[in-house]
Amino acid sequence: MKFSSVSSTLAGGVAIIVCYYLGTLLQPRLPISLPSALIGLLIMFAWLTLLQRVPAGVEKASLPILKHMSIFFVPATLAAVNYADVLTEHAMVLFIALVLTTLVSIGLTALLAKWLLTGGKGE
Amino acid sequence: MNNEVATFLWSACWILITVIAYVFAFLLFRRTASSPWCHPLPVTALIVGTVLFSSDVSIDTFREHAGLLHWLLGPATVALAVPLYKQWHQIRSDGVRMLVPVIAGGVMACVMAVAVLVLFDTPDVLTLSMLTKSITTPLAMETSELIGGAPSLAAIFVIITGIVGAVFASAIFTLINVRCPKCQGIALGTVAHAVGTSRAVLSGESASAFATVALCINGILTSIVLAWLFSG
Repeated sequence: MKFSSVSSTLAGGVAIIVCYYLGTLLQPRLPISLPSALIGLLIMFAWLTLLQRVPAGVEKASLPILKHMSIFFVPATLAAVNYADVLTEHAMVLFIALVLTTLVSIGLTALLAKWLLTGGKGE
Repeated sequence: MNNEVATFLWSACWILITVIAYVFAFLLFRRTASSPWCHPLPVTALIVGTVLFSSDVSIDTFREHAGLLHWLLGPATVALAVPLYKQWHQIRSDGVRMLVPVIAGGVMACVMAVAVLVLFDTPDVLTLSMLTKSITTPLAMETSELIGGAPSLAAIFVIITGIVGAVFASAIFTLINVRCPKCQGIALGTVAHAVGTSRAVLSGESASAFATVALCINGILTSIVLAWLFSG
């Protein structure tokens, strides 16, 4: 990789972190308490909309973070072990809530989208 | 001073172990042609959990040491603005019409799941953590924390929802005869967030564009609505 490419990716990463930091600064000043990362996302989106394009460095920095985001959830997911008792006690209800309602929601959302976007023809 | 060095080395060591576990999980995921059953998160968590268990280190100690990984969730959430901006331009002609199924799907998925829990009278921490089950994990965790749920429960509910959606989506679409890639993408992105979106790639480029926008919009709207409902 060329030096210019590395430095633009780094600059893109810094831009993403700056938006996140602005979000955390703004968070306590808003009338409703939104997640600070969400505020950062909206700031970044507003900035891209003003620019009318995605700078190459931001794009290059965002790709690996988004692709490998799963690794950032590992600490939180492991902490679910602390809830092992309540999870096993209600396993059956959770199964219904997670599996059945997800399948029904996907089906209904797809049907609604088909009706609205294609007039029901489905192609 | 020595203490600080030790803490730093422990952090580096646990992050390295997590990264190695993740690389293995990711290669496995690729090997199985991105089968949702082999999603890298459960596989990585299982490996790291086994290492922790066998080395007798508590999960809370691990979380302290791996704090950097957790912190990176914030910037990763912000980075979602990039695909949202790019894909939104591709699908602009259908933009407003797609909002209706996304909002309806987002409300439906959340209300039905919570209704089941309320019906069976489960503890509040489960019910509150279930509210974010259909939105992307980073937003789900932060929102869950704000509204009094448990971020760790939110994370596993979200991942299970995504895997279930991605595994059974093709069967559902065949059953109800929905063949248009846009519609499949919207349904997968709205209800099954990023895991569903990676499945939507199989239905073509337009399906994955619609799924990406659907996952971002549902995540943003659900977070805002829940934060607003619970702040009053």
